[in-house]
Amino acid sequence: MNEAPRGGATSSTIEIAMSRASIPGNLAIRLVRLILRKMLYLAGIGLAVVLVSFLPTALTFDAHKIGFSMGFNWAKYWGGVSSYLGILLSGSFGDTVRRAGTFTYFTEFGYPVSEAIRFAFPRSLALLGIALSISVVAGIIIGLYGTNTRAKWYYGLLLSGVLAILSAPDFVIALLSQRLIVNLHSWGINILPAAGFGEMKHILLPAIIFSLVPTAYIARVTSVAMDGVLSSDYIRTAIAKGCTDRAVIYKHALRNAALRIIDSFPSIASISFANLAIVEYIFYVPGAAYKLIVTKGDVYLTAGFALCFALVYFFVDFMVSLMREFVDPRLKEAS
Amino acid sequence: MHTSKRYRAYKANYPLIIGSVLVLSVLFIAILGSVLAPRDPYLKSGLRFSEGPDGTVFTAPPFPPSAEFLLGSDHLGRDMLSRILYAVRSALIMALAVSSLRLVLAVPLGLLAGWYRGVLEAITRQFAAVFGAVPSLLLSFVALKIIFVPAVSGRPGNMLTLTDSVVLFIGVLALVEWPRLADQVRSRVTEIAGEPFIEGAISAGAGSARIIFRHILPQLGPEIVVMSALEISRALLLVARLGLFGIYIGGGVYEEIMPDYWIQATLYPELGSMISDVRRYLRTAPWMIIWPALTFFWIIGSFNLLAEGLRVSMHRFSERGSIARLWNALVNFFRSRWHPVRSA
Repeated sequence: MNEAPRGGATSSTIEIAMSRASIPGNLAIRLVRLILRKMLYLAGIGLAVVLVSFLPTALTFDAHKIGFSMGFNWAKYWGGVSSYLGILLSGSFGDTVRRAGTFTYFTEFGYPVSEAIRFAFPRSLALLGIALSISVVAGIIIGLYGTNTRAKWYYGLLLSGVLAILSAPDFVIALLSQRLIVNLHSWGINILPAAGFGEMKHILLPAIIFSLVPTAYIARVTSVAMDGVLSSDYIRTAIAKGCTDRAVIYKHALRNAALRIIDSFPSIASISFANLAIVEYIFYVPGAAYKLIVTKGDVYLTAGFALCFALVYFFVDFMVSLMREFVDPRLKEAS
Repeated sequence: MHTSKRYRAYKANYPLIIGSVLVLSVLFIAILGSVLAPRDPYLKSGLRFSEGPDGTVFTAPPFPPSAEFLLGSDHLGRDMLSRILYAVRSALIMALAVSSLRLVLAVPLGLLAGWYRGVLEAITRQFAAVFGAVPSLLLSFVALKIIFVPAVSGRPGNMLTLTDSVVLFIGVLALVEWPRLADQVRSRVTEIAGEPFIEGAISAGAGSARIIFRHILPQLGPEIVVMSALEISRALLLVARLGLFGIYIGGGVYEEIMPDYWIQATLYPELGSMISDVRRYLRTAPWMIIWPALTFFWIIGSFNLLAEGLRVSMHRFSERGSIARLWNALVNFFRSRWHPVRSA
């Protein structure tokens, strides 16, 4: 189990108390501790997000005959950060500001950021939710199929398919699918709309394209985790005991493999956020990432949206921790 | 599947073999691409006219694939094949620079955080959480846009030079994703630090520096090789995606085709810039998009395959020392094609 830190670190009592082995068994106490720790974590994430998103604004440029030199204006940086923190503490996300630049003349400005968040984020979250639920179901089924059938060819196919999906520039897949839809439409076959937003059918194609990468990722993680679990000793015991294959796979192995699958969710969320920008841009879903791309470099908007993304990521992370508490049998034994 | 390791069937490590061949092909093109290029990648060609049955026929620049332009030409009439052959080198150099910069930043921090724990560990985890929460694509997009917009604000003296934009690009792409890597290294170091041989080293009286350099780093070495291959492919994927949003090396150079008709184009042969006009040309001139996209797929896929093959090889020989692991992977690759199945 988790032991006190080794090596150069002096093992403080706090750290030992924080380590999982010595957490008291009571579920309620464990949950309260978890929530408190996560709240601290959220505050840290928020502060760091603000600090990072204000970095580019304080860059200064001195134009020369050819090229330019860059500097960093610390006074402007801390001024911006402190004023933004003040706005946040007063309970709002601030207003979008007009930047002095030639490319901002066509964008609207001066509206509250919370307004933009209220319009944009539910759309992104709907897309994210539909796509991730598709990919969790499909990914686990695809990953488990190999362990069910024990077909050797399936592993090679799975690996090459997953690597192909993870290596292809995904926007090309999205654009080609969009092209296909348009071509089908011109031949008189109307399956799905190629782009747009408003109805359920609009979100279906983006969601399917969006779920490709997470599906590949989850299928790979499931396959690897099941492979690892199935070669362990207690599975051999279960087989020797006379368990059916079904019982071995779904009761004994999947229970342990689920931990690793759940552990991969935060990184899947992180990957999905990046893909969100691509999918929203190509399919014209007016969500958060699309809004960020269209308004070119408004600091308050960027910071507000980044905070909301961080909140979503934190939520996923928190749910994963919570699920660990319930799924991990070792924690149950400790209680 | 449920039998012990000894009775397993023997199987070749195809990802390693195919990945190595593909990476060698990428290196071959990167080194010799400029020699192999049939035309000058900077050479533009304008309107063409030919005498058809109905009179003179004019054709405008995105020329389809023909004997003259093997993969077609782009919107300024430059040969796609030559531009791609030139671009592979710069893309590869940039990906190598980004991945090595990430590793240079991440490995020392991860090592120290994993060994000393405490504040450093908290900082690393927090960094990883922050940069995992904010999408790296959006972060690098916003940062590079804010940097590039004043640079191309229309004043001719205010353009980015090639060096500036390469340095900025590499810096931003490396900074955006290194905390995730540091956290990965940290968790692995923590895992290694819990193993019995480290306990043995501590009880034998070895200091922290000796343990890190003589015991942990050799264990970590092969995994860093795998990580760097993966980071190369990740960096290239990020370059491709930024290209979609119009951010690329030498970005935002506007070229006047005719009076009142400006298009965004870059002088340099660069893969990211070739797919920046994907929306406009996918229907009318698909060869302008398909070939750069396939090039990205080829390079990214070959490094992904190599990483997967290396990972499997490392895993198989995990009982031995790290140098022996790498050596075994190489020897087995060159000597025989038969390996035991991955024991997972």
